[in-house]
Amino acid sequence: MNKKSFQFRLVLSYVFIVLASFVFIAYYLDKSLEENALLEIKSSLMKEASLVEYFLPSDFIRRQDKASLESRLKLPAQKIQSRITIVSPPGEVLFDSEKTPQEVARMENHADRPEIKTAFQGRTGESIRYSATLKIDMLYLALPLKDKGEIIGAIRLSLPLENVKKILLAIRKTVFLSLFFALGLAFFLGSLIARGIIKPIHKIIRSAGKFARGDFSRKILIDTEDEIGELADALNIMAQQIEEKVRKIEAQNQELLAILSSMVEGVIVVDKENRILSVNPTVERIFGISQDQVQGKFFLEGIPNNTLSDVIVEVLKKGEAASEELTLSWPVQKIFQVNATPVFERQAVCGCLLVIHDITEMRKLETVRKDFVANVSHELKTPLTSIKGFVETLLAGALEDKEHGHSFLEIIKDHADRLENLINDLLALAHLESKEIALKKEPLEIKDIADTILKGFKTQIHKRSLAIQNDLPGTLSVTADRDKLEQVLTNLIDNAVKFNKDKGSVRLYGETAQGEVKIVVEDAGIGIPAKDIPRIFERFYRVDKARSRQLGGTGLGLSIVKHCVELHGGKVGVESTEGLGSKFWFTLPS
Amino acid sequence: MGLKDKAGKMVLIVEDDKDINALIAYNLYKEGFSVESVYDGLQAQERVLKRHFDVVILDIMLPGLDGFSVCQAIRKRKGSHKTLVIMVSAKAEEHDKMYAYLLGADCYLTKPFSVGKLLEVVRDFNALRAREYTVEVN
Repeated sequence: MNKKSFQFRLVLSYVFIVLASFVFIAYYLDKSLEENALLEIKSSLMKEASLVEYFLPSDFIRRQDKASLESRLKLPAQKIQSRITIVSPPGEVLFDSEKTPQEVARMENHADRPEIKTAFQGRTGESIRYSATLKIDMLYLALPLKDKGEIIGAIRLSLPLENVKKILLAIRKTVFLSLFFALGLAFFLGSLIARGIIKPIHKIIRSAGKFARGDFSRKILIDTEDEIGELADALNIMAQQIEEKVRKIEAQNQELLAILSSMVEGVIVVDKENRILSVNPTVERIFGISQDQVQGKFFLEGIPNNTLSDVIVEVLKKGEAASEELTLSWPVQKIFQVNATPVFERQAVCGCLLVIHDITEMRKLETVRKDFVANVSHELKTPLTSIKGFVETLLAGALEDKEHGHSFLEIIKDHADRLENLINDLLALAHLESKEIALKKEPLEIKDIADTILKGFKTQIHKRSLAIQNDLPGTLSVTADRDKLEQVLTNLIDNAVKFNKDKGSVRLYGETAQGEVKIVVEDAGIGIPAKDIPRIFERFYRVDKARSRQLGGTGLGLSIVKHCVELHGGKVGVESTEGLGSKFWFTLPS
Repeated sequence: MGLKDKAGKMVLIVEDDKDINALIAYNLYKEGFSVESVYDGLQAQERVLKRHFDVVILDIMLPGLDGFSVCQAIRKRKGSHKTLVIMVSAKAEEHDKMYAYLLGADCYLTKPFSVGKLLEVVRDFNALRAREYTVEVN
């Protein structure tokens, strides 16, 4: 048993209480027993003395007749076991039951003995004293011997106190024995009781320990109405509430973790010492690190990026949000918008939250849009410049110039046409890109449509002596919007005719495969350089700007084709070899 | 101002659009200049490095080499401060203009520009040059 344990102290207190009460009892018992024993002895001595006095003729004493006293008192003295001494008033011993007459004659004067003194004063004297004669503690009791009102002597009875001591000792022995017994019992019972009290407390301690370790699976099962029961109930309620809170916090943490890990943005949290607390998977991906690897490290140790580090240091210092643009060139060029916010705890900056947003794509789109606007503006302004300039020139007098005047008007007409085409294409593109476009889908026989379109190109075909072959099967049918399909075919045929060689050829054919119709427009023209093929469907992308313009191209034809086909859920593609010709294809649902 | 002031003055027109190039060439020719036309940047660079031009009409978006680089090439040549560089472009943004002036362009015209305005600039410049010449002689 642990010396400091509650159980030990409880048992100790029982033992102490028993001991204290025993000592108290024993002390008073001993005292009163001793007193009682003395009192009893005294009274018996008194009785005996009175008895002896009664049987003692007073003239024996008056006469100081030692021999008569001897003969009269010898026998009774032997019977009563007490020592009888008769003393005359001057203090001379007349008789002593334990001395022979010879010895009595040699005995010293007893007048100075306290009990004798008292007796000669007419009262009962008593004294406890060590007897020099008998060499033991003795109780002395002396009575005056009176004759006709006159004190003629004193009778003294004495008894050794040895007996009283013996009796007291026996009683004390019993008391000590029972004290030991009681202590043992107190210890044993105390232990039992203490264990009974301690047991539920131990139970509570064990359960509380479990609670502390986060195990709330078992309640404390104590079904008593006492304070411990109340404590257990309170602990159970507390545990339940803690468990609920812990669960709530865990759920929140999970949620937060889920949000952080599913976030497209990178998130870094650092403490006020600029040590990394956590990073999310996006950050792990961006910087090629892992959470375990960088957690707890100084920012620059974990993520060696000065731009970010500077932002964090600034935020931690000023306690104000900051943002910065970060460009990483490895492994691929990426642009990030970095927003850093201070995290406050009781009005003091305790960390920094970094959100890293990948704006590469946004920038790219921005660039594409800017480029488009720039392109449109350039494409519109160029013909307009010619129109305006030549009109101005004509007005300034070139009308009279027979040699050039007419050709200027031709140029103006060409550019007006070019402008018209461009505007039409731009409008078509804008329409295709707007979300509200509604396709009027219907089954269409593609061969007939192609034939009609080819008729429109008759003049150009004839001019360049091109061989045209429409090998599209008559049975080939697609479900599409007629206008859009016509536009796609027109643009592709237009390109095939434009970018052809004199006496070249154009061939149209198609097939059905896996629920799709694939239509191919193949020419044996000038072809496309391999480096231009990936960008050929981009708006305003031209392989040869000058040639395209000369041929009246807007640079938007293929872009329109792509949009139209994709609106139908189809795909477009091109295979081409420079100098040998191109093969444009598209698919549509049959 | 008569034709003879411009006699022998060389103009280089750098413009990839053939019609615009022809338009400028016609008007400057009528103004009395000797005109040379080129249609891409590399060709223009080659020309300006080879000889002095009194006036260079310079488009920015050119095949080969852009107008800014050509302008730089012009200004690198000794005595090029006597060359009038007029930039003509569809780019209307302020930073493009600033850049052009920074590289040494004297004038920046935004397409669609007015032929009259272009001629005015050329005439004014010539008048200025003529005065300078007079001052030098005296």
